[in-house]
Amino acid sequence: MMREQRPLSLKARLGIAALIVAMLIAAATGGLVATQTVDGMGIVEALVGRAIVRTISHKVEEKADRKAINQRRDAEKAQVDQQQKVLDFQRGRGWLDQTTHQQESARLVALKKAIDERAQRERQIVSFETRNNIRSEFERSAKDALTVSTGMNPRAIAFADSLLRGEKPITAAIDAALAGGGEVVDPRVQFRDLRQTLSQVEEGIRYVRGHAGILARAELARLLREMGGPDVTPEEAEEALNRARKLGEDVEKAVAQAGAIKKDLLPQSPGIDRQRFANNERWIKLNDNAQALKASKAGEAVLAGLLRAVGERAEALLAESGVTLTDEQLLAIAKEIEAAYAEARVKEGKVLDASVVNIDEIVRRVVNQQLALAGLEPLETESPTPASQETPSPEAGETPSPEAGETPSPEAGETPSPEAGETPSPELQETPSPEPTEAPTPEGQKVTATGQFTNLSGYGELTANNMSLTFSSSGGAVSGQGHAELIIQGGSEKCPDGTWIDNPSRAYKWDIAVQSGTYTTETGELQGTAQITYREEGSCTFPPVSWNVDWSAAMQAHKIAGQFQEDCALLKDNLYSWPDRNFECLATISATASIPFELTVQGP
Amino acid sequence: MKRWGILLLALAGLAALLGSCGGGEDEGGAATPGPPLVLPDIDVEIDEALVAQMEDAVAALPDPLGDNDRDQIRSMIGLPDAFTISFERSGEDGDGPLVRYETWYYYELNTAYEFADGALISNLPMDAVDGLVFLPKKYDPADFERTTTWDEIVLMLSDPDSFVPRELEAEYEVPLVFYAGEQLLVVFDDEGLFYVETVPLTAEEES
Repeated sequence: MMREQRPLSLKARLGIAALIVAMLIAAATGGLVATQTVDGMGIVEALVGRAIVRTISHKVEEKADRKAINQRRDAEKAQVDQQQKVLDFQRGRGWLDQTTHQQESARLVALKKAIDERAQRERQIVSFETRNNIRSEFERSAKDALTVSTGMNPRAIAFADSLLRGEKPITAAIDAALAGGGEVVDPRVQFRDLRQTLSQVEEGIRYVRGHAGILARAELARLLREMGGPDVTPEEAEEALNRARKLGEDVEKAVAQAGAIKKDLLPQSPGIDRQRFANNERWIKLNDNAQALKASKAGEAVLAGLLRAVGERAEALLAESGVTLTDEQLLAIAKEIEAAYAEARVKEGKVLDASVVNIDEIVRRVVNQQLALAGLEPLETESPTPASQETPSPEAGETPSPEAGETPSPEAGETPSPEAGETPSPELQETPSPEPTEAPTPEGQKVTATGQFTNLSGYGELTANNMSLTFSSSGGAVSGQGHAELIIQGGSEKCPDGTWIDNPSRAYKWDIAVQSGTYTTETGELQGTAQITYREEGSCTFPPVSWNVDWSAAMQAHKIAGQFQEDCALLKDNLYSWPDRNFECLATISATASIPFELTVQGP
Repeated sequence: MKRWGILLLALAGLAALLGSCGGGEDEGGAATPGPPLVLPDIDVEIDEALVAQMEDAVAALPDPLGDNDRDQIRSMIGLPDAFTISFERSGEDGDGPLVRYETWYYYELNTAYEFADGALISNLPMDAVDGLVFLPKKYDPADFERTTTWDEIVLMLSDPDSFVPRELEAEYEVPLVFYAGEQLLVVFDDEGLFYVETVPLTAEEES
């Protein structure tokens, strides 16, 4: 039986769609770059060839230089040998006494050694310079060559062009799949080709930098499962196909926003700044302490790199707030990231995809927690792709719909993956609501409402319970977060490593992040989607689990009452298939099926 | 415990400077320091509590697997997002042992690691990259050896027919062959694979 699907918001779909557009471009070009031109030896080859000619010249120069160095060395040593022969001759004739002969011979031996050492140093310099020259030549040549090739390869550009011209290849494919031609056709057969296309897209998403493609990947994976499983009924398959059509429409709508994706895909030469941390005393201190670790050199290197990356990101994000993270907090973030890698390796096998851990998201979350502690507004969420951030260009076609012009949804870009790491340290995780402010909230100003989840009783005392929403009094996007904790004692529990713990003490923790939301001034209604992340700590610690829920609320006067709709049965069905995971729905400890909350608007 | 004149870039800097400021090779082919290094003289205290926290953090990493730094880093944080490999002869006359130099780029970490025959020689900060980047993730540096042939590389490609081998003109008297495409640049010399670079691509913003 087809399960009810929670519809993604348009903004979220556009976020996904923008990613997919990008990936379709990548997938359709078979790797984006090809150098063959119709005219045979083209500019690409000429550029690469030129670079290699230079390389050869470097090598020839190096060989010549080495030869010259060796020739000079040999000539000088021959002179020394000649002097030694003279000394030996003079000694043989009795013209030199033994002591003088020995002293002079020793001096000549030392001189020969010095000649050898100097020649060796000179060869090293030549070798190093050659290596650097070759490397820099190739860096330049690759950039030139690949820039030209991406601009010249018609096959690589055709697909992107068709999208940017407003053609609808995805919709066309879906229409073809849905069109029965008057005959009754099993949809499972109809969308075989479409499924193959989506599989390629899913594969292609791996190639996008960062973690932002995970939601799109999950959505596609779900579609593919629903479209191709052996137990899927035709009705279910057709429903999945219709959802694919909607996704396809969103993709094409996103094309208007993807106008920034130009035809040219340029080689991105990873810049290395060798001096950026040379005088960063904080990192130097951390790095120097890292040298005292007993860990492997590789472990030290990973930690040192992580601390550098985490520290720099946090510093940039907090630059204007006056808030700083302590070394301990940086380490806690690094530990969370490292744990996420560990979990990913368990999940994915020995060869990891390095992008599987979203470092940006983890840093941003902790930074927001610290900002909340300081009573400051959280950072705005990031859009999943540049494409979805761009204002549609006039050339790109249609006028954006009101939805398309809204703030990009954080849904695709901010979703912490279940493997995003273990629980941060308590001091990082506490997220009390900001102190109520008494500032007036005139039309169009930011409104903050704080409060608690209600009717949470469960089987123990809540040790934390807070929630807040932030939005503009003139309507529009809503952000927010919440946190609840419950201490449980007793019973027995099986840990992920298979051991059983009797009478365990454990803490259930739920973090709620509002991922999208809208406030409508006319009706006073608020609604959107949120992600709940559950962590269980105590006698044994389970990997975190996340799931999405819808939420809605209504504002009357200064009060907001609402609820998160958590379908625990559906979650159990889906999430219990994950090995080594354990979780509790937040609604489990609620007196109602949903998770109600009540907030008070701060201000008049 | 106090240390003077710290090993400033012990991971990041020292070897980086080897790579950038004067690394050469000795008779045995190993990387050796070039010109003397000038390091800032900064006092750093080893904070034992901090080190203990670091031990705790490092312990969260996956267990390192492999016999060298390169393989261990790979086992802990995965394949690099992009990489370059060059095979270079060491020795007095360029006929010594072969050294495999690699630079691995990790975009999420903003970090590049350089290796010589698998030994970590530098750990460097990458410039931050914003925007959409297509990473050449289908390539694995372990698949490229000095002995790797073009026929073996073909198996990694989706459209090998679009690659055309180009040789240097005869006047250069050096049998170098190069191929470029699918975010990959490979160069062969008369002894085998000589240079590999995988190339991330960015979508240029419309001006």
